Amino acid sequence: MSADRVVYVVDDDAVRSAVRLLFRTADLEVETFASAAAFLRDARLDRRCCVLLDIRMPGMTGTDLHDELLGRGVRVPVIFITGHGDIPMAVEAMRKGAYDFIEKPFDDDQLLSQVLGALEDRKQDTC
Amino acid sequence: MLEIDKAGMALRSALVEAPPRLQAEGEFQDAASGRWYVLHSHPLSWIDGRRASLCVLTDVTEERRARELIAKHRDAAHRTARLIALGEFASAVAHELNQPLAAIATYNHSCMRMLQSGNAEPEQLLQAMHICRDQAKRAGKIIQRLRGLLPHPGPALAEQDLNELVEAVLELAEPGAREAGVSFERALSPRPPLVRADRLLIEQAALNLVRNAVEAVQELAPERQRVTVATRVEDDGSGTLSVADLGDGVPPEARERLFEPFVTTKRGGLGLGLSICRSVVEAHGGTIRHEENSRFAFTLPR
Repeated sequence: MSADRVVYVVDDDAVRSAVRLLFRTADLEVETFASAAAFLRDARLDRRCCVLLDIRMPGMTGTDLHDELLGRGVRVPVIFITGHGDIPMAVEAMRKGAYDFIEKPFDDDQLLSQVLGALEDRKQDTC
Repeated sequence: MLEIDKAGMALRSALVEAPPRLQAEGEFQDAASGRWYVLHSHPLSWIDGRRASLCVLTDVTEERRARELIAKHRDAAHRTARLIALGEFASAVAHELNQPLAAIATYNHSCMRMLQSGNAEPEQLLQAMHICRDQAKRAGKIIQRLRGLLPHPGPALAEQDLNELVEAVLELAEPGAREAGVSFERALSPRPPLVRADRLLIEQAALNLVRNAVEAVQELAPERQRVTVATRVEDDGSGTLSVADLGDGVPPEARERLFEPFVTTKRGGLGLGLSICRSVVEAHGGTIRHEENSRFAFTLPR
């Protein structure tokens, strides 16, 4: 049985490594990707993971990527990380079935508890 | 950083683009009827050889009204475009600044968690702190870059007559003021106050003051709906333009921070008008002040 895992997609190197360190301190396995394309190519998704997506990214955005996952029938909890002015997009994504969203600059404890909640819900999910 | 650059350029062009003109040449207003006419005159010889001139007065009141309406709409569109450009710019800046700030906050938090858990490796902590420092520098660079992006690298200075500038500004403000029932009075210096200024920027600064004054009195009793624009030549040759209204003035608690950005007493105001005025005037080596309760003035060097 694989361990709980967080998969994070964000273009910014510093933010990516910071969040990676944060989840390690919480004893969660983390996998990060610098772009939506890299995620689609290499991510291994299973029933123990939670996906974090930055909304604003060059190329394919976080919401585009979410649409792509929905189109492929992939069911994982997705949490969006939004910046100033992206709230309408996040709301739209929630309507399409995203698990949650958090505003940047975010509170780390809140992010951690959202991720843990998503992973917990995922385990209860029977499919 | 590309997004900031793009949004910055859009904002700059929106700020600098000239507002529309209203007055056409040769028009005058008949004081008694309030109607507008154009006078065309043509020299001709009378049958007995005397010289005469044929004068034709055309009533252009309706045409003028239509022109005013168009100008007003264009002006409103122009202001909306500026607000949109400003909003996009702010959003791009917020995004760029959020990245390093988020990274710093998260690294700090991780360090705290490591220290609290009792298994912190000095090496790891040191590395995190290094990254925090670099990210703080990155945020600083973004701010530095913003200063380079924003208007104005340096005003395009030329000699300007403040009296002429007042006429141009009042012409722009007239349609809106008339609709609000506000009239303008001029108290212009008989000697033209000549200053060195970027015409467009100073016009914008003066227009902001006039618009503020009109807004301050538009809901008052008719006898208080007057705005006076005055000019004078100072002893040292510099020129002053002042705008006064008969409104209630600035509330005491707002006076001190009047020229700071994002400070406003107006409902729905952005709080940028006076702060832009001050930037413009100071970029010209001039000064701007809140003189009396409802009088604002700026002085520009010759």
